[in-house]
Amino acid sequence: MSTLIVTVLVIALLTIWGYFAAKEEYRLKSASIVFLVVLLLSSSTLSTEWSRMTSELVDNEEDPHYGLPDLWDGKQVVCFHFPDGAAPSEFADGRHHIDHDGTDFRTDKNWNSTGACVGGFEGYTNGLELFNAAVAATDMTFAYTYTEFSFGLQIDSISGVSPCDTHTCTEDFSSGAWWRLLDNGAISLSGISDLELDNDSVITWEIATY
Amino acid sequence: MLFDAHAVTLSPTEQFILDLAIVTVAIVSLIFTDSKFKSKNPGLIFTIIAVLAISGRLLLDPIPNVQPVTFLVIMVGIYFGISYSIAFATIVTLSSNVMLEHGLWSNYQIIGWASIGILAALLRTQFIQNEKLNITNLAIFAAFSGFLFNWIVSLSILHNVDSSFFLIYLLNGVPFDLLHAGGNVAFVAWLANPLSELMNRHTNLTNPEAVPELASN
Repeated sequence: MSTLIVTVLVIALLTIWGYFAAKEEYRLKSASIVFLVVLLLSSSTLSTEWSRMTSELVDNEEDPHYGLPDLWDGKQVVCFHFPDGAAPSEFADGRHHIDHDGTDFRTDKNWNSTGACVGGFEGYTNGLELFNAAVAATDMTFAYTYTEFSFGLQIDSISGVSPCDTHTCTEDFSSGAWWRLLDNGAISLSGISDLELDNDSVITWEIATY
Repeated sequence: MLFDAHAVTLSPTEQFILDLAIVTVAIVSLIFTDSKFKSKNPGLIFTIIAVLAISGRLLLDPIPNVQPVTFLVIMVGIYFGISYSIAFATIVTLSSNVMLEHGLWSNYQIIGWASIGILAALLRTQFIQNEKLNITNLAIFAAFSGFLFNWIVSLSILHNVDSSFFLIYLLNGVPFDLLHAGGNVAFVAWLANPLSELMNRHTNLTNPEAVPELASN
């Protein structure tokens, strides 16, 4: 939001400068060109920030893109869903939406779990690369630990939360919990390191029990 | 000896600068050569302006939402009247959409530009005062027209989505509306006066019959 205000202020101030810097008969010509050029140069930032702001207004229950903001339609997203009371404190009030540059622009307090989705990514073809990009975009808030097996990576904890911290895990492994990977809403048949992505893939980490 | 000119590729910026230069040359040529035309019949100048609008729309296509059609339809509405502005909107939209893609939205574009032309014709006395163009009023109307046109064209999404989403859709498009409005104001600031002189030579604004639709006002 603050970036939007700064962008609008810069456009307005430069246009006013363009108006008063010119001779009286050229003021509209000068101001209109300055306005147009500055607007064109800042149009990418302006439209992104504006979309982030207006995404707060959209609450489409039947959203085909997993309830994510329209801003991320056609883009790649990583979601981290924590059980009640287990999410990092800053994400305990609903599902936060964090853009690829780290901007937390929307919180869905009606979502049925807590955590965050990090999205707006493009061009990733491998799940682990996208996962790492999401972790980096949030300044390592969702840093993970893992164990490497011959068949791939097993995620042991995300944001310091291990599945057995939130659910009972027996020593004989007859019951327990694990970080489960969903690929576009369905249980992933591949591990994160082998997961091939689409242009609009949404991968989700959540704790599941057995 | 043949040289393969098709093999020469320009970057988008180079192509844009070249296109802008072509539009500028076309406008300047039009303004300087028009003095040779003595006819009060607006048909010839109307055709030239329509060609300018089509080529301007095509050549400025790389710039999002900045093109001369809205400004030109306003001028046609003011100087030539309602029927000319409807014809202008239809010809320019259909001709340029042959290149830019034609579809259901073409109808909404025609309605949008025609509505602006009709409004401009009806508000003509606000734009021409003491036989001079009131640039401030025209710039305000041109900026408003940028928003109006986009809102009318946005009605086309109602074929696909629920009306409850419409206002949010409009709100989402405000940055693009601003670009259209800004472009229109720039066209007014730079081109309205020379184009006004040119169009004035081909119509008689002191005679109400020059704009037949306004005769009853």
